[in-house]
Amino acid sequence: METWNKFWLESRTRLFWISAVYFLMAVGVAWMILKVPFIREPHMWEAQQRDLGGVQSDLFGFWFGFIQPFLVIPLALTLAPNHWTTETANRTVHFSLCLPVSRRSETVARLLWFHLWLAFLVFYTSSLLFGCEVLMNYPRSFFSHLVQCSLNTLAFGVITSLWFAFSSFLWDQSKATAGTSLLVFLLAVPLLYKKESFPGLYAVYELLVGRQWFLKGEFPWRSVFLNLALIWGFCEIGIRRIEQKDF
Amino acid sequence: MNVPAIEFLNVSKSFRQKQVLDSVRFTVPQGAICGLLGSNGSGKSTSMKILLDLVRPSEGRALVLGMDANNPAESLAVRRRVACVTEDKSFYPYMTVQQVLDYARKFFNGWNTERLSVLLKRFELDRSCLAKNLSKGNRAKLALTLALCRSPEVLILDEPTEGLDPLAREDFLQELVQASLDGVSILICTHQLAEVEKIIGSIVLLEKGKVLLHAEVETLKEKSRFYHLTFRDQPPAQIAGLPANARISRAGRSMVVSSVGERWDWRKSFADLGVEEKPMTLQEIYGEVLKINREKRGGDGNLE
Amino acid sequence: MWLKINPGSGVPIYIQLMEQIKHSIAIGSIRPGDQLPTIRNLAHELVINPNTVARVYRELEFEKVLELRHGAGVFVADRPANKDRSDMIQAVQPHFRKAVEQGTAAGMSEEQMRALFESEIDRSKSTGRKGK
Repeated sequence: METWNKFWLESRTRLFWISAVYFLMAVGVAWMILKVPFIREPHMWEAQQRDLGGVQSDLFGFWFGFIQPFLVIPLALTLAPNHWTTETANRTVHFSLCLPVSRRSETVARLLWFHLWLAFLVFYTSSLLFGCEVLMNYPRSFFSHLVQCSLNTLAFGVITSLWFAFSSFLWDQSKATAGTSLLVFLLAVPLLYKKESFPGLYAVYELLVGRQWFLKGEFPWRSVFLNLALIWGFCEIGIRRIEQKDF
Repeated sequence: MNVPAIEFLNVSKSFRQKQVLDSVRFTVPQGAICGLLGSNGSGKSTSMKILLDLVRPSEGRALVLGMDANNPAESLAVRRRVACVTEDKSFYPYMTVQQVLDYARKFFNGWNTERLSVLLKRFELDRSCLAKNLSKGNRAKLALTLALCRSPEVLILDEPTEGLDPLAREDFLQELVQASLDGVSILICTHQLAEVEKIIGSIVLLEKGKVLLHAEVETLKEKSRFYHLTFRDQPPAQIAGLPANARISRAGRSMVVSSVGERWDWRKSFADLGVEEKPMTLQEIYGEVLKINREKRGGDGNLE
Repeated sequence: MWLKINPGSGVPIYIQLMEQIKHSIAIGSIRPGDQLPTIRNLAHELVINPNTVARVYRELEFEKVLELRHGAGVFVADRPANKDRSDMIQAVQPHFRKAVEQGTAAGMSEEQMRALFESEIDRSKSTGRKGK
């Protein structure tokens, strides 16, 4: 756990500024919600009363389905969790690897660190949204927010884990970003089609963000399992590659 | 049971079809100071990296204190008992010297705080300086400090004096002597023969991934000589009875025979000639071994 | 006793040290019974491999030049008053042999060499220098 201290010292300034910037962005969105008329008017999304205790407005959809991915995914791709590539560039990688700590445990610690921070970002910016909903007296559900934040975090986690797996092979951060972005983009194409037929039916993101939760209030077990499986799979690929790599 | 500090057992390594190490085999006993010599690309750094599990061998095994350096479970134990100064000597740019020390300290039980204070004072390192602002020399000093304070059993040093001024080099050698007195086994990888000549007990010479020579320095020096022969007429084309690792160079009526590791009994063939014998410095031995190897290449280029 | 090692000379360091210690004893800068630095101190002072110092002390102890007293340190051995004659002869004989060879090579006769030798003995007596 000594490595957590290293990660903290390394990234605390960066985390602070990014969190501040995102906070301001979220404030901007909140201001728009409160002031801009067409956003202010609450529309019911296929207005359905659900057992979970509340309907969600399309503001909720707008935030979680559009704004947040738009903000977070580029961030996740550029701030990537493969610290070994940075250490290689700084020439400290030999120093780190000569310490009596396994490559696996340090890599896992780093992945956890990154994803916890990602979760923090998702949750705390979304709390602003929730605040707006309270202020505007929109229909809202705290539990829905919690679940949706978790799902979004997991979905972003899939993308960052994919990036991590790419980078463990390509080792060049920009190449890994390019590769992941391409794949992310290609997978987004089915979203343009109707959901009822091919290829819209197979839009991966729909599954990743748990659309059935959003629409029907069914707890998205499949999404959760799929996200976790993908995260574990991509991370494991990356970790094994790092374990075998010659430095 | 006296387990060797370091053992290379027919270690080979290839990177993308290029053979970097070829059946490297040598041993460093506990308590010894061994120099690993070789030109750039000879495989010295790769050998050191294998010991530290930075690189895995394609064939063979490397053992440190009896443990397999590349076995995942054992390599952790190895790294707890071994300290190293790698070629890079860089530290996390966002940490100060004190933070680097505090970070490293947490990994080792046997951290010697007294030695730390002595070394920091001796090397005049500023604890509050950011690592990225350290000069090359100071980084080398910090690397050495970190290596010595963890009370290692084996020290592995890759070009440890690079960037050090003469006074600091002297300090560094003093610290190595102290470490040796404390029972630490030391493997030094270096070009700077002159500096470490006084303290190394044995040498391993690598060239293109092969071990050309592995010998005790003092014994090697005793048995290695230049023989200067002056003939009345043309020197003979062939000379019988030369040692295995001998090289001849001719100039007019003179001939110089250099023999590494084995004395040549020239009296058997040239009792009536005036032959001058001169000892070889370690630098000269190194040079001669490389020349002999290059001449012999094509056949078995190994010298023992 | 002032010891200086020349690592670049090609002569093994342990031989240099042994010769220098013997030389110091021969010229009287250290005397029988004097203590020499510990292995640790000498290794530090000269910045050489402690194993080399240990070897030197061991070899000199074997040659009865030094005495290693456990717990006390390393001391210059007390030479017996009547030195072993064969040791003395063994030490000096090569020098005599060389002188004879050189004389022969220069073309001197047996009588000439004897006369030269005796005149050298007389000279050494008159300047008061004694062989050690």
